[in-house]
Amino acid sequence: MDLPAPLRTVGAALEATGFHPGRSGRDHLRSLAATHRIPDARADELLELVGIPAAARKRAGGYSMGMRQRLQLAAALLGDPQVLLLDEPANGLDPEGIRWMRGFLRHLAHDQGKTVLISSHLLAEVEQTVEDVVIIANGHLVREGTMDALHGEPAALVRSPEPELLVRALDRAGLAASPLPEQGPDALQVRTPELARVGEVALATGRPVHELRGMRTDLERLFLELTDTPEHRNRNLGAPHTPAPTNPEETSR
Amino acid sequence: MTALVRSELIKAFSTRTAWAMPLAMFLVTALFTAIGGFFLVYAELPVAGTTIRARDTMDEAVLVRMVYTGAVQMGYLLTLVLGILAMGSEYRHRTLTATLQAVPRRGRMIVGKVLGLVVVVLVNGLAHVTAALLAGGAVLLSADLSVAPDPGDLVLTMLRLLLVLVLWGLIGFGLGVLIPNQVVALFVGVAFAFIVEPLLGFGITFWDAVADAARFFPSQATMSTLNIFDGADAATTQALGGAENPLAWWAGALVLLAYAALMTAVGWLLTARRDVA
Repeated sequence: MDLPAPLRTVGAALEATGFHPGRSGRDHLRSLAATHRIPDARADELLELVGIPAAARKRAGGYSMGMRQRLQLAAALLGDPQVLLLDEPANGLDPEGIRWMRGFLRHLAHDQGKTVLISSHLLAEVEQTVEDVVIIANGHLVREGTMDALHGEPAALVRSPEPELLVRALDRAGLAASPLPEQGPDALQVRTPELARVGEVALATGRPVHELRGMRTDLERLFLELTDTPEHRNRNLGAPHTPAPTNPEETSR
Repeated sequence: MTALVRSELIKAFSTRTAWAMPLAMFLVTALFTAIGGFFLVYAELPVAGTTIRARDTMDEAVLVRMVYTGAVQMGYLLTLVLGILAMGSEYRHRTLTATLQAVPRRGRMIVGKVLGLVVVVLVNGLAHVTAALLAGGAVLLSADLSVAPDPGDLVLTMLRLLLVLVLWGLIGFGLGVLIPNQVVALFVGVAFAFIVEPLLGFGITFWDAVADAARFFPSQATMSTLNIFDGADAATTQALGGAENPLAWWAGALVLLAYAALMTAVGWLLTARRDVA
């Protein structure tokens, strides 16, 4: 499909985009704006918005990674598009910049109603920013859903020196518990969001508890689990066990 | 399309090349026009035991044209570079991704770039013409020769000079599209225009069957377009380095344009289906 004015429909900040080192960031924006007859004032307004109005008048060769990210974001917003496509927007930002970026993207999505698509490997950062997640491994969709759905059912992790006895006690109280060997021989997983009930059962039955905390599947763990199958392992890293199947049907869900 | 040209002009005039190139053009042109002019006006040739002045062997009109166009090779070398940079810097600094996001149709992008480049080359061409007139005029004055024996012819020669510079800019652009690596494109362009092509053009004059083809070579076509030897007889023309049977000035221009168009078209075909980065 041909868009007559693509910058007004979708704004993209792709990792591959660069800047001429001898051209100022402001002139870079102006040259892009000119293609859509967007006035220079809009470029200045955006530079103000992303926080680099003064620096953008200097040559881009001396820009830090964070400034480049902000400048790219400004370029993507030139046509005030409804959809934003950002590749690794937090890469190279300092902690303050990352917090700013998070807030700014939320503002664009919530207050201005834009659709913001982010591709990223910084899973902890993504977890704090997004609502919907799509996990792609080697070009194949392996999971999609809302952040809450991907987190799965909340559970409790409890540690006790007498795990078998505690499982039975919890069972009698109507709480499903099972051993969690990857967390150690004394760890149990209890399928409930109510940590207090687990604690009360342990106290009532006299079982010592060494640790009790909420457990959620975080994005990083989910990602590693989902991509740890031979067909979804990163093919760029080679195949440690079996070669990835070349027939796409074998990898379909 | 005016919007695209404006975008290209913002790009062209927002880096140091914007003023450094016309400045270099002015200085180089003045220097080479002066050196070439002094040779034409003052050199003496040994003939049959005595010496005659080189300028006495040629028509005044030819002499004046040769003096004023003496730096054309340096001029078109620089506009060749400008043309290569117009495309090459987009690849080199990976700004092409952003450019194509704004202008996804590559054909429109290329037309916008070509039109923008013509303006840039004309600005540089004015620096070239100004320096050529100043330096060439000074040389002629110093020898008590008329600065402009035929003003109409002088204007025409300067316009043809501008045309040649624009055409070489377009050839550079074609090279930049054809060879995405800017450094390689610059090397190939300069090496070909200054070493390979003149040697080749000289070499094939010894091979009768194809000797005539030399007049279609870029440097010979350039000389034809400038129409320097208009009015001189064939012997003088050849003695001064002109082709034996030169193309008409407009045919020379069309040959140069064809080189530019061919390279742009082939480059476009090769890159149109290719990922940018």
